[in-house]
Amino acid sequence: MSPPQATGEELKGFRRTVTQDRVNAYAGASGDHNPIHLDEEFASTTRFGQRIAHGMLSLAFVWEMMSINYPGAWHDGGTVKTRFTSPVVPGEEVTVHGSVKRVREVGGRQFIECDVAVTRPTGEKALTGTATVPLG
Amino acid sequence: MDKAQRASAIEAAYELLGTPRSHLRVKLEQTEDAVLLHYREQTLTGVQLDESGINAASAMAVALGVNVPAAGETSEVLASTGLLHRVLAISDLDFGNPASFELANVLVNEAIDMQRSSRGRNEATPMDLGELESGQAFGPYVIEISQPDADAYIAATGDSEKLHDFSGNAHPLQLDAYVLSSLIAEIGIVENRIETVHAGQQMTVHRQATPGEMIIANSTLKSCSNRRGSIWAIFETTFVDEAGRRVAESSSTIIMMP
Repeated sequence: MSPPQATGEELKGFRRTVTQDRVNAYAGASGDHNPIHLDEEFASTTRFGQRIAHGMLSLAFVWEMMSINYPGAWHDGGTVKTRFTSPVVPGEEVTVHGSVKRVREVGGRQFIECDVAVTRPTGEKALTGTATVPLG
Repeated sequence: MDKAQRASAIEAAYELLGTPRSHLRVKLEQTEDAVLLHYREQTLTGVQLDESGINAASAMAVALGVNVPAAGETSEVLASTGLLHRVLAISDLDFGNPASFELANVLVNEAIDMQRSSRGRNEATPMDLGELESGQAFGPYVIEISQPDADAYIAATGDSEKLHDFSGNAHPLQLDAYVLSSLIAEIGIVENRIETVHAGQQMTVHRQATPGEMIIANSTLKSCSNRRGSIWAIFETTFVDEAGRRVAESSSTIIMMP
């Protein structure tokens, strides 16, 4: 598979279900035991009214997508800039997707800039942002 | 600073360290003839730059996770009281006695363990949100991801197909996740059950970290503002390896609603 390089070209994305078990596992693996992710009683008192997944988990999905589409290059100078715009609620299947926004040249080096997103089943974006990969 | 002055400074320092805290901002300074450790206006200890003192200064710096500053310069670092106890003890060793090297080694290793344990498991009291101020330094956080930890992180993200090319390396986001967990512990988000929103994240990776490799992360509170009762904080973090080479940089935007 050749890496997507044409403006507008879709990245190979995927869907993934975010279960509470996955959130618990992520808390254990990352050390982030914020009660908003784990404690149902505490979470019910927050603006979200229920437990929510770690934003970093959604970002990890984007990371995986970029790794799939740009093997090698992504881990050699890849940059991601994202906003967490809506919380993922455990039980939701999210769609991880993106497309090439443009190719630009900086200091004689080419970079592919991609729009990336994680979308909830409601259609709301949980994460939006830009991922930039060096070419060559 | 002679021996009597150091003894007097250390005695006063132990009073300061009587209350366990996770984040005293201390300063290591090299003057013309000594290396001194300060907290605010108070000198906690110091060593003359003779043969014994040079050894002590080096060990103190390693224990604190910084380099010995050049003459006329200072290095700032946040340290827990437990770690500072070790640094004070190191400063009081006579390196003319060969047994002191063994003792210093034990103390330095304990201090390094404490730096590592700051990864979300500080032994001391978390800070108040009111103490946050722009420019504040956090860390250094010494991160060493084991192969099982690396595998657990990748598995937790659901990447069971291993389609991408981590090639046995640690997931780069795991470095930042560890720093975030340390920051939220230091700020007291978990202990004080403060509602938070992770609003944004940036990360640039220069190379992947390998399991077992020591990575040192230093964070700075780049900006901190109060907006309608919520605290918006942006933390910038740099990750370097033991040789000081860049591994990654990140920026995290956290909204706290006390």
